[in-house]
Amino acid sequence: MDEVLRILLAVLVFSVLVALYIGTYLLNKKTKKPAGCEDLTASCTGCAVTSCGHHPSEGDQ
Amino acid sequence: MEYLLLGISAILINNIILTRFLGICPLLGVSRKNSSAIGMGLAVIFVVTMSAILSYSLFMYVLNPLGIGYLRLVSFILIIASFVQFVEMFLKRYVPGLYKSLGIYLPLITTNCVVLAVSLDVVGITGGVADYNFLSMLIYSFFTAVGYAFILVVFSYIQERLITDRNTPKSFKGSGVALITLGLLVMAFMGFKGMI
Repeated sequence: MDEVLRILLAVLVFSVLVALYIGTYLLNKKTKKPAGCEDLTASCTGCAVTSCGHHPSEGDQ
Repeated sequence: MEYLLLGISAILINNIILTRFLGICPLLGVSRKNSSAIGMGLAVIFVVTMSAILSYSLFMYVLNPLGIGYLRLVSFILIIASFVQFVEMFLKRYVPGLYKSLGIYLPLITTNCVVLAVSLDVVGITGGVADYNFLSMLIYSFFTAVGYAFILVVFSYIQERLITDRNTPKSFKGSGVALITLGLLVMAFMGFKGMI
């Protein structure tokens, strides 16, 4: 296969996957949380995983 | 028989935490309460198995035939992150009960390197031949995740006792004694080597 075509295919596949991620992220953000689960993060006091979105230190930034 | 051995090996002999030290962050983070460990374990089993299926299919039917296999790492990261977002959305909408108990663990799974490691393992190719066929990939990924969940739960029971133990020296408290205990667990599980 032509090298240029292969690079274009790689860019296309990568773009589709990025679009898929952005799409699912936005859909997830739009979806309302069920009753009683509005603030699940409040019950999280934080653990060793500081990169987690629920970690209390995330709210400070 | 071959598949049974693959399953036993993934849980006991080549346990992903104890032999490769992957997923240590969530292990130390959520193993302080066993209810959290069980929730996290179940969520990991589901996400690891499904991510492995998606990653394997993407690599074997798209990336490899097109000659762009070098994209596997970045593709798998995106696939895993998208899948976790999708699962969270699905649970919110259709299974609120399950979302209430597992929802808090889903963002943690995106940062769990076990998920990515299993996805990369199953697409291994040696001499032009895939290391795993679809069924063996499914069994390997499921039982590796079961092995992870098993250690998470076992370790949570140990951690609960360590936290309340007053004899632990102050300098060892927290991650110190947890890592030493994990080391002892590794040595105990080395006893399974040579079983198969």
